[in-house]
Amino acid sequence: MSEGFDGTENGGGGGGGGVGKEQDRFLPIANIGRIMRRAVPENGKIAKDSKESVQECVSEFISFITSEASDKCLKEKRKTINGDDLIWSMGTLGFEDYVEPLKLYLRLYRETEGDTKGSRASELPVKKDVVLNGDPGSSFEGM
Amino acid sequence: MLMLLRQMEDHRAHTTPNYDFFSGDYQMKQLGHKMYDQDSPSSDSGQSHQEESAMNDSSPNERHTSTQSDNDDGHQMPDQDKTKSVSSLGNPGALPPKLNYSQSFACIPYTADAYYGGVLTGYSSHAIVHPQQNGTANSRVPLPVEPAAEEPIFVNAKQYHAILRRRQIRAKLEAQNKLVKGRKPYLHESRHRHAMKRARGSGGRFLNTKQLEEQKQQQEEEAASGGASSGNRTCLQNGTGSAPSASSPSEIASVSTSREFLGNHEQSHFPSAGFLPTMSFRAQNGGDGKLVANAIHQRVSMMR
Repeated sequence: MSEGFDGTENGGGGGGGGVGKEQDRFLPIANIGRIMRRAVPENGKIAKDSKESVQECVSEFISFITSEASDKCLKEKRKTINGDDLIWSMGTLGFEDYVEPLKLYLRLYRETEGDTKGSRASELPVKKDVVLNGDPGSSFEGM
Repeated sequence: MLMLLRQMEDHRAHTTPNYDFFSGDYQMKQLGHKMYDQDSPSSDSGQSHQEESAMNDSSPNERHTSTQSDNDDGHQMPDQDKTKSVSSLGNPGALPPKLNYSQSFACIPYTADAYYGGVLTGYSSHAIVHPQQNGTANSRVPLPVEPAAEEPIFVNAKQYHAILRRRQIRAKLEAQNKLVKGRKPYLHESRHRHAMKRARGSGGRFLNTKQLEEQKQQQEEEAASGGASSGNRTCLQNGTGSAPSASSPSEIASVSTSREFLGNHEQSHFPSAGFLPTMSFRAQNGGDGKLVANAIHQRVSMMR
């Protein structure tokens, strides 16, 4: 997911040097607001602190699932977390209801994308982002 | 592990669990769960799963009953490996020691029940009809007390080790000073300065190109009729006041009509040709700030 992640900062301002940057630990808040708007009627509005709360929740949830998958990959001496590891991790942590829908989604995703990093925008940007940044040492590892 | 067991023994003195500190995090996780629930195609099963979780929170003391413990005696043998990791605390002060031991031992088969799809489906369907009565779906494990909290917090047994691991990772990141401490009003200085230069209408929202032209025309008219009487000035003021309300419906209409068209594609900040794309993009700047960067979006939100 390329939009929202601004790798280059203009003028060097904004983010601090040593302190953790917001974009390194959280998903982009604009994309989260876009997902939240699906559940809100057309004339509804979403407050900024609501988006920030959900941003922290989903970012922690991603780290939670990825940490369990990373632990499994460490035990099996593998270096890359794939989608099956994340689905197994959800089943292990008590989210069994998500396993079958995500297996179906992952199968269709691999058929359409050819199991490479495609540029097509996904209906589940959170899920896609986790799959594409699957190394155990990536920035989604900790919060 | 011994330290954890020792701390868990210390927690047995507490009679009722308290969700003052970490329960917020647990609810936050459930909120994230809700987001996934709405995105997944099978929303019914997700909904029942969430109701089950919410019911566990609402009735922590209804986890074990003697009838169900008798029925689940057959599951004792396969679960011997989980005796150490899964140990639940009921109400030690209110029950005799023998009965407490019996119920504590009985909670082990309930963990095994969670792994059988049929039994879990039964609990899920039961939760839909009577959420309050399904108190024995999952056993709960007390987490070690953090310095801020006073009483133990009970969590899903499956997530116990993962939560402890996440705590260690967060502590390590905090030691390395990598956690986000407070949010900045904007991420990029240059974008912030650009947003501050933009013209704003009544209410603090950005003006799009059409509104800018209208404002310029009004200023020219005011300059042309500078020597007019006070009556004409009153009419001009009324005209100025009604302009933003007149443009507001078209602004909202353009935002709503072009939402699906734009989708996730990033649009250039200054499109060269075509008035409608410019209209849609700038209207959204004044509206929800759908596609702009975080800096401008946060600025607009603050101005609301």
